Amino acid sequence: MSTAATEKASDTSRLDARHQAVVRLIAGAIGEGIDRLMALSSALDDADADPESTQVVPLRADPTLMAVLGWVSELPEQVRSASRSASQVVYPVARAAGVVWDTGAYVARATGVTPFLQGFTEPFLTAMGEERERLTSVGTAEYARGRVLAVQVFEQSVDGIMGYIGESDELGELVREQTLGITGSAVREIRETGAAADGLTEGLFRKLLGKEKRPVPPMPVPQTE
Amino acid sequence: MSKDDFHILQDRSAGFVSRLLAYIIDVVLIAAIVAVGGAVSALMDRALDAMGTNLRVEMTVIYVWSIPLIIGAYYIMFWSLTGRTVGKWFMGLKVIGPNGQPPSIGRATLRFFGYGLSAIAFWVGYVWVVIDEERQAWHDHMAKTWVVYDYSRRKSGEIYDDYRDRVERPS
Repeated sequence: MSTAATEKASDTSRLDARHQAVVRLIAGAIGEGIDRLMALSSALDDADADPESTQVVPLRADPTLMAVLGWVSELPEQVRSASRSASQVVYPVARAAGVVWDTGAYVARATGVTPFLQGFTEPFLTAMGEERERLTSVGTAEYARGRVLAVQVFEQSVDGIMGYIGESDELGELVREQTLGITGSAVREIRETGAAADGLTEGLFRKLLGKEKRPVPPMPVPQTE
Repeated sequence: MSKDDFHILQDRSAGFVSRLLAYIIDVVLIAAIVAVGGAVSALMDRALDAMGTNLRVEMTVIYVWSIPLIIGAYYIMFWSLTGRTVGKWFMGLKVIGPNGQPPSIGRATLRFFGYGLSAIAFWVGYVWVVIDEERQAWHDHMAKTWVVYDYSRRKSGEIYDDYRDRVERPS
């Protein structure tokens, strides 16, 4: 478990014993996941994972999207270094963008605004000039590499977190209990706040209309159907 | 009304804010369903295209026309079966007919079309709740329905007790 997560978990003086256990568990599980992620990331960086060797075929190889990905991948190193391994985020982001892209294109076709949208994308792609083909190739390679990384990171991280929780029956029980309890409290709080706001809103309008404020809301009068 | 008096609201007519929040939750949920449907349609379109079958026009027509059907089915089904949509369940609300039970399919259908009428007049039909004596919107008047508070009277923690009882009780 990482040091920062451990220190944060120890600052539980204002919580009762059960909540402290839950906080430790969550902090520990996150720490466990982060540790696994860092180890995996280092291992993959050292090995310089080759997407070609994994025989992963990109699920989505739209040339336009791949060209944009290639352009992003060639951003200055300072920008790329913000993420330790840019490829780790390329695939999830590209997949999400692909779904939005497809849906948008579909709606655009149905509503007849496709030419309008092309007015935005074409100038950008045209500005790439002769680089467009090379950037498309770079984007496709990064996309494939990102997919390899994403799958491995997801599988290993989930394994790590679930393994951590699974080590203790008592902690697993606490997670279930606290999750249900906290959810129930939050829902109740929202409902109470909503009901209080109902009364305030109605009171304000009744005052504006010169009517008396009602102490409680009306009860529907059942009729014979 | 303090929060200690919360339980007295049970079965009384719900106000504008709670209903608005429930409505927003439902709209977001329906938008998500429609978006997923759009993505699936787009994928099917691509797959069919790859197989040499171009049904783009037909699929677009089906998708566009299915949207109001999905919205109608969502509301009418939930109202007539349980009196609650997901949004209303979350906010602790329930739709009832004149007999105090969830509305019939016919009444729920009428209420759904009343939604359109309430919206057409710049949503005045919805806002009407704040000045109506029985807290009914226009569509409630049309279909003779009421939206009432229907809270779980269980306190926080008892939900888990129920869960544990169900899971651990020997059969």
